[in-house]
Amino acid sequence: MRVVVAVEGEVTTRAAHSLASHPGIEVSLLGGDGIARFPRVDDATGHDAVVGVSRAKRVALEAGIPAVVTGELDGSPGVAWASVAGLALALASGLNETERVAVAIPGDHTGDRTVVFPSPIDAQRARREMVGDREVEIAGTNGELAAALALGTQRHRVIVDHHRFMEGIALAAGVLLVEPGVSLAVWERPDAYLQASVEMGLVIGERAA
Amino acid sequence: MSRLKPLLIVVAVAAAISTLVKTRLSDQPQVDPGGWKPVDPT
Repeated sequence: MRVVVAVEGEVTTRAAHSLASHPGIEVSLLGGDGIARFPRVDDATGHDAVVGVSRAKRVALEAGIPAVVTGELDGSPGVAWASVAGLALALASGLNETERVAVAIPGDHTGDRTVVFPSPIDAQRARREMVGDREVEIAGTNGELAAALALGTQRHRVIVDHHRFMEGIALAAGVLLVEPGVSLAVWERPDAYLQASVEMGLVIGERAA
Repeated sequence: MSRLKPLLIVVAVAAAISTLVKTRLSDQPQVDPGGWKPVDPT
């Protein structure tokens, strides 16, 4: 599989490195001067997908191939919400009767509720946001850690890691879900998405509720 | 009215104690109980 990463900051460069170390994936970069490891391209013609944040959607559309992005697809084919929130929703998809889906990311967030994450993130104020058609509680952390948490009636699942590392893998793992002409969100293929995330370096924790 | 007065005092004191207990409980740090184990996603 040949993918183009449209470089837009650290999340995309980290995703490029995670993809390059995954078997069967060749990575080229669009933009991102100063990263010598990867070949450069001016457009995505002849590739299988474009990976990125916002520019990737336009580049993919111009080349007529799927995009893999951290947010919404805006009607293009590809994979949406390849992000920390997407990870949390994928964790929730594997649980029966999910009670809570939450993420913690660095930032000074305020909110009207408290979510308790594993230590050292611990209890944080959170606010509700829509991620696609799903509701996620978004909490802020003071350090560099992030968490994706899903609480079901029988099991709880969590991923905790360095925020940038987690964000890069969350984006890169979405590439493994690409099917030509198909649009989906990462939580619609939760097993494949989480398996790819684990293969790239994340660890899923689970316990009984 | 004189019979009601002691009852009202008792109710007021009970409400104050309840509020105090709730406040103290909410002041307790909320900590994750742990018990997480790594799992295969499938």
